[in-house]
Amino acid sequence: MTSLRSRLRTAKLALYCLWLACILALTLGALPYVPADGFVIPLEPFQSFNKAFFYRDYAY
Amino acid sequence: MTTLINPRVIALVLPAIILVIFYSYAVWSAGFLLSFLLAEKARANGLLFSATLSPVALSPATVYVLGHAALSILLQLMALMGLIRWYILLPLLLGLILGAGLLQGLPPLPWQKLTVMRQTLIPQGLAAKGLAFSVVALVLLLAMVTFSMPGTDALAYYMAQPKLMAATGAYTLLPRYENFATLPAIAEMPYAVMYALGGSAIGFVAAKLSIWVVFIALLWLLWVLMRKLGASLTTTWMLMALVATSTAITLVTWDGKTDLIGLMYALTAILWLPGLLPQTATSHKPAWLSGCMAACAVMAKVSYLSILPFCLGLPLLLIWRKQPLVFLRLAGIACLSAIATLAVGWWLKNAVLFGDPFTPFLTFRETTPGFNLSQVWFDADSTRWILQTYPLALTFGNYPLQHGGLSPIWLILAPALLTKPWQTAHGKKALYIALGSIVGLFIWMTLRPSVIAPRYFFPVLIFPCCLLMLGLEQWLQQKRPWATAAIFASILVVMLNGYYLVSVAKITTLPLSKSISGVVGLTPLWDRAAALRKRASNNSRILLLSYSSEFLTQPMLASFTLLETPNQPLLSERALSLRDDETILDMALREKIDYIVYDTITHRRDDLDVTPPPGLNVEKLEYAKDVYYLYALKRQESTS
Repeated sequence: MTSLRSRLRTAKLALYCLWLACILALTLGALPYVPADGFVIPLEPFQSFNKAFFYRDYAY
Repeated sequence: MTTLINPRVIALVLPAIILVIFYSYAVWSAGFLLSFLLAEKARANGLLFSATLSPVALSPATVYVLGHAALSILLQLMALMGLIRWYILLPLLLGLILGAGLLQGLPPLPWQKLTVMRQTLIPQGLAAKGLAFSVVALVLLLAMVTFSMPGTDALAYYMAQPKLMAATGAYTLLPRYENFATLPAIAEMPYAVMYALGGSAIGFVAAKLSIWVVFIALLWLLWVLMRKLGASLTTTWMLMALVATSTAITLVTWDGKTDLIGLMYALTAILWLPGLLPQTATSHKPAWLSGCMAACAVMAKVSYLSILPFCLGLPLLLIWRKQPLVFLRLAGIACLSAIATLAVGWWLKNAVLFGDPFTPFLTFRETTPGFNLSQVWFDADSTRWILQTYPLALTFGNYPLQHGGLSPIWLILAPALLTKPWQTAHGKKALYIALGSIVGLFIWMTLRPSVIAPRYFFPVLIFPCCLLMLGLEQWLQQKRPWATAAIFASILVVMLNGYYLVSVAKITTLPLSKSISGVVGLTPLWDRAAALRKRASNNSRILLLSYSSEFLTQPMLASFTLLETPNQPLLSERALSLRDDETILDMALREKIDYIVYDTITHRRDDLDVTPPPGLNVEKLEYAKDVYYLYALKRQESTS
């Protein structure tokens, strides 16, 4: 029983870490003015994803 | 780094730093003096000066905010009387410092307390220490980045209007932005002091740096709030990280806008909300101060008018729900205080400038410039999409005009709400603040659904984060691994933001410092301004095909304003309604214009690069291809 609880706790923590990874990935696509070249991770896929969901043309 | 440390840059930056320190100290002294007028009770309440609280909780920040608001309102009144002159401002500010000194010794400098504060600032644990260290590094980096060219809005109005005040000594309306003058200018008044005391160049650097001081005050106020809500050092540092990684906040810290001042006032209004914190029981004074600060927040950022009544009113109602009479009394006092503050800081100014005190909400005169309060930024489909992506859009959105977002740290901590942090006494207070803010956010989404810029409604985004932080507090006590994971993820967010600020420094700070050292071609706007300074006289007639006028020197800006023909449309407006057979160059010859400043992005036209009319020589100077140009016009003698 204790082992099951322990595994459940670990699974919940792993799920939380996955949540954190998603947030960090979304953050990579959202930072303004960060040049893609020279960054350790290619930013383009993150920025494209961000643009698809969180960008619309300005229409005043 | 060597680019930054060169004589010309130092000659600008060092006096600017001294000027900002001097002004901030005078502001603090003003708050210090005011606190004496507020009698013993407010002092005993512990939010102005407190002997009973720990040194960290001691609130020079609230004293600073009080002084900031009072001095800004006073400066605005002085501008109406034509008293924005260095020989008036300097004795005034020195008098405030000396007055505070004579009354109770000079206000203690913050760094005199640092030794004591060090012990209460550094959190326990390696992860928390790492977080604190990275936040401090980020905040210092932010100070460096304030040394940069301002953004478009700042060049157009936020910095241009106070520069014109400093140039003319009075509240002279900035051509083309007269409608903005129907709003209060208390957030811009410190800029006027910077320009009046520092001149065009030093004033420019000092004005931008002065907002960083406001950013520090903001952090300090949040620190005080969190500590009074019973948060540990680790948790409080997490809130610091959240603020320092909110690009909506950091962008306006360095780009010359003044939005942070409104947030600073709003935060002080929350701190003084009667009954929220132990020191603000049923005394009338916190209600007076809270109402006054709420009004100042609205005057500094008018959009807060839609949200602050809910952010402040609902927590007040929830705190005093069992004593309705006390609630009514306190709310009544706060409202009276707010009305009195609005009368002095807004309506009086409008009455003097336009004879129309309640404009733009209630306009009686046809001559009063109209201000568009009902902004629409996107079409219906896009607006619907934006609302569907709330609240994630507030963090990850990159919509045009959005200008940054709220830090992702709120999402990192969102699962901590499962610990139900509102069950404690402090947690309840944080919950009330959060509920008020969430209602405020819904009101904003209803009234201005397409206006997604967080800078228009900062308080409703920042205030609920206090509750999240108390959730982290529960994790620290009950689920340590979760708290550690959250802290490490937050450190990564801070590092990403650090990388972002380094990129900003590379594309703004370093090129500007090189341009100041004499290198041409790196900062187009600076180069164009330098060329204009060198070539044009104070009486040159300049046609602005650009939204910006901050780059004109103070005498130029004053004469540019005066040279416009009274009771006639502005030169730039006349340029929009030429006859079919007339080009802008024909108009330039007729109106004896000497220079045309041309920004193609906003003012593109096709009659500039044509054969000039006889009698006019045109020299075209390009500063950024297809973006920034300067046309130097010379009339031949026979026609001049």
